[in-house]
Amino acid sequence: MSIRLLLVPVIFAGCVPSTAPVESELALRRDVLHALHTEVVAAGYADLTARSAVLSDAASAFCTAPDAAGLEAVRTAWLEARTPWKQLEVVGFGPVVDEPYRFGPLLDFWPVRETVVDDLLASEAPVGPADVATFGASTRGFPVLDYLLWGPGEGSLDAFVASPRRCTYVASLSADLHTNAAALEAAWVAYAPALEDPAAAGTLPYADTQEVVDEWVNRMLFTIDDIRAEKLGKPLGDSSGGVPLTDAVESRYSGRSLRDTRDAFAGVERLFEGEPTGFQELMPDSRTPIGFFEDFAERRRLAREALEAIPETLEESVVAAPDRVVAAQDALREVQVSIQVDMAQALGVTLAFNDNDGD
Amino acid sequence: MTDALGLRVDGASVWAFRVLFGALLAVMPVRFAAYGWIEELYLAPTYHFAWVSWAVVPPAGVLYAMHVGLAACGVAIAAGVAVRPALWAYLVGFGYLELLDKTLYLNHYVLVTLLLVTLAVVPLPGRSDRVPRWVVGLLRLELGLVWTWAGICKLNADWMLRGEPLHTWLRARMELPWIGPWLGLPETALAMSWGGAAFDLGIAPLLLVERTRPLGFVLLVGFHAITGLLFPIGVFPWVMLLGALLFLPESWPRRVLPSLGPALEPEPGSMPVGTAVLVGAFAVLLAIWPARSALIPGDVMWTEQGFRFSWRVLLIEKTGQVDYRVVDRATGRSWTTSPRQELTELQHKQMRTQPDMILDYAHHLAEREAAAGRDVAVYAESYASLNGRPSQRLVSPDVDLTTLTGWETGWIVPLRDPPGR
Repeated sequence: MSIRLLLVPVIFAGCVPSTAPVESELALRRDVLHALHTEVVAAGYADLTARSAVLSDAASAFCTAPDAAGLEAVRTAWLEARTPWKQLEVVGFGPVVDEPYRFGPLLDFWPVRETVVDDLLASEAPVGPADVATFGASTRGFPVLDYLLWGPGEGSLDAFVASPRRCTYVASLSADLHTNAAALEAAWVAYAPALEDPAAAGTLPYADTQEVVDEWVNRMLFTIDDIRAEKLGKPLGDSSGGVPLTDAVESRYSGRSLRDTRDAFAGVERLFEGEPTGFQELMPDSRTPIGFFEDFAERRRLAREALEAIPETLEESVVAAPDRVVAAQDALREVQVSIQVDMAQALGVTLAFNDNDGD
Repeated sequence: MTDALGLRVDGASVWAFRVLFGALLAVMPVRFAAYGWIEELYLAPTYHFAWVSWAVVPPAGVLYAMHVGLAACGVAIAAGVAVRPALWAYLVGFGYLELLDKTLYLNHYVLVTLLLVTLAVVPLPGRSDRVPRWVVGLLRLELGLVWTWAGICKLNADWMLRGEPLHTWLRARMELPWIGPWLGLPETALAMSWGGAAFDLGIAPLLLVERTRPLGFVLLVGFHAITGLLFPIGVFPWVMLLGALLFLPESWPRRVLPSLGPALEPEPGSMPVGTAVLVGAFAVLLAIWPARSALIPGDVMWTEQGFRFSWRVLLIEKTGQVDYRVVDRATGRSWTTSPRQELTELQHKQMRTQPDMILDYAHHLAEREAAAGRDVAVYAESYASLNGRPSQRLVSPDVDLTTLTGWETGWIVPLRDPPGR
């Protein structure tokens, strides 16, 4: 055999491109997912657990001797506990929605069914902590507390003083919320490792980490869409021919609606930026539009500012300052386009090719 | 010429094709129902992107009965029982179901419809009959045009120079064992793009020439096996593999099944002039119809005007986002409507990148508001990206879509960076 023939496979091997870049990209993907699942989500759920414990303690203390300071402490604790919860609204998968847990409805079944809560209070059904743990979603969680702690308006404290049962119910709800938050945190910690290698785990509906990335990016854009269409759009009248629906405002009794939207938006931003690494690290230069990061940062800044520019409360603004709400919706649309179109393309999230090609 | 086309050749290959095609036709509706698609695609949506206004979704019982009927027709076609009525019945039923929603459009469903039309009108041989050569030729032409046009349409810069959209799709498979890392490389996408274009352009000639036919079949099976494994393209590979059997010598079934008897020698025959004119005109129409997009302004992969019914396969990866600004003409009040609230996930995914569906839904919104007593103008806030390009507006936000029929020009924003030819 001539020496030249021996060289053929060597030359051929030299022409074959290396797969090292792909392998390092996959390793980076696992690292980023790990960081997000621990530093953002697990840490966020832990924060929720801690804050809900404060809420539970404050509610117990308040009910021993209801007074204005005690009520204010419970309200403050509720407002603060809601921050990590809304920032993690983007986590619309896993124990928060999956059976058998479904912590989402237990913690935040919205809008509150006022008559159901009123009927329960008017009844003689026990409302202790163990009883509340058996209740359905419409009589548990953040929204019921929102309704009880701030309603009926100025007479809120009087209502608690007049009805120890109301206070017992609030204390039980707060304890239940804390129990569920702790259980959610534990469930997530047990669930998340499989997301970093779903094929090996074989217990998740994802075949590989690309599908996990898909889930995350879809959740990010759904969250933005939800803020636009549900949190802002519905009260604004987008589903009622332009006629505002003020009772469709989230957290409307406490007036936390706009803060809810800002928290939910911040949650999306945290996924992108990461702590310390987020989805921005996963966007390959070769597939990311030139100037995307600067443009996306600017769009997010404008959306934040537009949300800040809506006067409190949202319930009033959809009537008195609808243009501000529309401006926020428009700014959020720009953010959504960046995620849904540019980011999705760069990350290969739109996996299925054009549906005209196959079934 | 007409004598050559009218030559009566062994009808065994057309007979076998009819039998196998009938079997496939029987499987398709069963598969459709078994996957739950009757419920999901016909019954679940509250709005349908119907091709024609009179195509309305029948009740569930009728839909299921139609699918049972289609499967029975497929069996009849395969078994050779009342073949022509069964072909016509299948054509009408299948065609009607396809008219119900643009979301359901598939290129191979068009091919199936075309083959049904052809088989319903041409002379069909029994297992021991001869058939005019033009029948075999017409069927081969129909299949050959699918591959050839699919190849011609791939000759653009996105496919040939950027390896898109294959690179996007293959990257999604880079976690597959063994081959995954290779699929993630741009070089792989480019090589497969060139290979795919060469396959599409070359497969019909390879199958037509006796010497190269074995190679053609090896390539054909390999190509459709790979695409069938990598991408969810359903029965498409089976349709094409089945069709490729028509390129074998007309007597091939007799070699596989000796019980069919010996090969039949050709006999002289003639093709009536009227038939020749009709078949010729039909063949010309089939050959040039996919080129109609050249007469429409804008890039066809972006506007999708002239995209369907033209064998543009695996060419585009689009993502998009759309919602509508609805303005009450009487009060001036405006609000935003997202199609996501009404459409199914599949419908929403399809419509947000296809201008004609964006327009259809705008008309639907206007009708819905009219039913509530409001006269409205509807504007689209739509953005899309083609084959990895940066997002840009798809439909002009300043055009009241209720004033358009879809035939106008200028309402689709031109693609900033066309792929070129």
